[in-house]
Amino acid sequence: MSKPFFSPLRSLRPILLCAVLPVAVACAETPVWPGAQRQVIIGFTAPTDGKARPTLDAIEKAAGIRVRYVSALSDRSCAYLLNCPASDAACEAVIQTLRHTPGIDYIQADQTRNLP
Amino acid sequence: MKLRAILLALTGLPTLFSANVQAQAEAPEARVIVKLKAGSALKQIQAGSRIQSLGARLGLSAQMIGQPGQDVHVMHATGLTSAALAARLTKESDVEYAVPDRIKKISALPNDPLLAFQWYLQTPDVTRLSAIDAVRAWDLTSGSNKVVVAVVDTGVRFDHEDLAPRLLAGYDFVSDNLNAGDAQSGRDADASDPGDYASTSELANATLRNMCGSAVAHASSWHGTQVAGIVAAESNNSRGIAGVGGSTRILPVRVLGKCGGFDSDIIAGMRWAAGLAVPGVPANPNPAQIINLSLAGSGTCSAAYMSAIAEIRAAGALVVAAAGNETGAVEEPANCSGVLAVAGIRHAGTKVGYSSYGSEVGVSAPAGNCVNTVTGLPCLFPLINTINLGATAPAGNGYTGTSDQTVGTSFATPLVAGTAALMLAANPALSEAGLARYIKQGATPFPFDATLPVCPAVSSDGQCNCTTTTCGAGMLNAAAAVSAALAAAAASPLASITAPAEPEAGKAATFSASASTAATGATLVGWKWTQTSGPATGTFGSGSAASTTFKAPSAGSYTIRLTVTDDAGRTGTAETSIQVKAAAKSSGGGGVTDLPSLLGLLGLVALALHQRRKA
Repeated sequence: MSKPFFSPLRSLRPILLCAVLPVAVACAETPVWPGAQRQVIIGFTAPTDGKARPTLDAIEKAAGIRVRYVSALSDRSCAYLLNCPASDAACEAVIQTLRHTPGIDYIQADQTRNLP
Repeated sequence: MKLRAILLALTGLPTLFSANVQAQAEAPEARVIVKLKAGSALKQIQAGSRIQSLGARLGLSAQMIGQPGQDVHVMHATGLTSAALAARLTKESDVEYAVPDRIKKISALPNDPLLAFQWYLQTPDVTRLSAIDAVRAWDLTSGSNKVVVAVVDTGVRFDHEDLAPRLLAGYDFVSDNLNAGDAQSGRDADASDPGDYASTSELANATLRNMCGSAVAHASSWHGTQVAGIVAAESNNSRGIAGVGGSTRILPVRVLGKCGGFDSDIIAGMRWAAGLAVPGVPANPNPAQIINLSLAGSGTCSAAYMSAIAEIRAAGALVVAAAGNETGAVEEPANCSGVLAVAGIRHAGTKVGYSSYGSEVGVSAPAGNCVNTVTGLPCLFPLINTINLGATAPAGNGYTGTSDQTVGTSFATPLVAGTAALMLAANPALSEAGLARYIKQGATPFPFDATLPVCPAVSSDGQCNCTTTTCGAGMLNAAAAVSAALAAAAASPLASITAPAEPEAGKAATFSASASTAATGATLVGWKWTQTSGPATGTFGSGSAASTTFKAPSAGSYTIRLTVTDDAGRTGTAETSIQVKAAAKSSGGGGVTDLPSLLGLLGLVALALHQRRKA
């Protein structure tokens, strides 16, 4: 049985910070990094505040690279930018690592669609 | 003055909320002409009582609302369609005949001036075998403004005069500012299409260029406006084109910008369209029953799409998606299980060269074809769509013409979505699985052209003779699909609610579905209880059992809806209004009898004693 990616109680902390510190950098737009990035969708095994700092910290710790929140799909899936180039083998290894991280149900490329 | 205005607004809010909920959840009403047999024993009682007695046999509360002849009565009941009631009555031994009391109108086609050019909506003939016969479907239903189709696309032009009356507010899910092109940061409430053009200077940005897959500048497509018009451009308004779906409303959900859109935004938009929660986005006040996806990309169905589509189907919405224009495998998300994938066919009914195809396709529909034109001559079989005329930013509104190559599985898909909307108008009890089933059931078999190979083999330009394993069940036939939806209504189960007489606020009252019945040979397998209106939100003991309790938090009028499902997936609904009285006041000067209150009171006493000692 899979466990939540992190404690929901811990995830509340940054939200509370946002409430009292509207200008808190952690809750505002993170600067875009220069260089190549790879956008992915991460599905969690349990409802997760994907924007919360503890979630980002946990993903960054597992991945070993910088990670930026992009958007939410649902209460258990979000899009993220990984700070590694799409064609890089090491980036692929990071994705494999995340795929096997407890609390993560799936990770996949956030591809673009067009008009048929 | 200001205060008075605020008070007026506040007092009006509950009424507005209540009316809105009721409008969405209105139960079907039946009106049937029923004639008794010459030897019926019912003739011995008064006419009104005959109808009540017949209704009681079917578990219904029925009234006579007219008597056009001797032994002929007009019967009214709620909770089922006229077709369903007529079918049930026909089986009664006392009944000679029972037929729906339908409304007749002057028989005429809509007066939209471009309808004659919408060849794909006409009754099929030798020159247009694949035409979907929407014109005869409109004889059966003119659609319903209670049916909502989400167009998950590039957004729409809200100022298009042939679309405006049909449009709901929608939402913009494009989160990447680079391709959003709307000068607003991230997701926002404006679903209008600012244009998806990409200029040479914009394409100097490597990220955008990679998204486009090209460095060549292109004009705005106004794709969402085109798709929305196919679904539900206003008809019979002496203007432009007619949409397939009649009175259907469109929920525009913007997920594509310059060079397309990300899966993450598309999935979020799809979920929101179906009424599911998306963090950071306000709840959708108008959930769609049908979701149109005229978008595609390579890849097998991913976990993210699979998960979202399962949730959306569970919420009751049908997902209709374009197979793709790659003359190859069906693309994502059309290749996901549970999606009604649409392939494109030519006017002649053979697969159009560009259309993707495969076993995932559910049905085929005209996608437009220009293959038999020569340079300089007009496209012979395009779709005529609502569009904006601006090359980049919005300009005036108009329509695509016969010289435009408006073709693609993008445009076949909304023909199916619009047909599904008509079916729901004809039979509001249809489930999403039922919609897909009857669209397939009503499809016309594919023709055969001896000069073309049989799919999956294709000619040099991608054409082939469709089969049921490559292009779905057949060619979309809107009239047959709506007829199948109406016929299904006759076999649908009858929901019946047994409600408590005088429930009290704060106390659980028991509701039962035991008087509900399934058609002969079918069994009820599912029950769903929901509250559709009321001064506050109550709680059910179980939302999915044959019997449940409901606890209303305060006094007032509440409406409870029951949906029953039989083992064939057919559904029936009933609604009942209950008047909840205020909770009885406790005797003995406000004495406390329940345990939590008693504990709270003891706590207060202890606190008072403690403070007294301190003092």
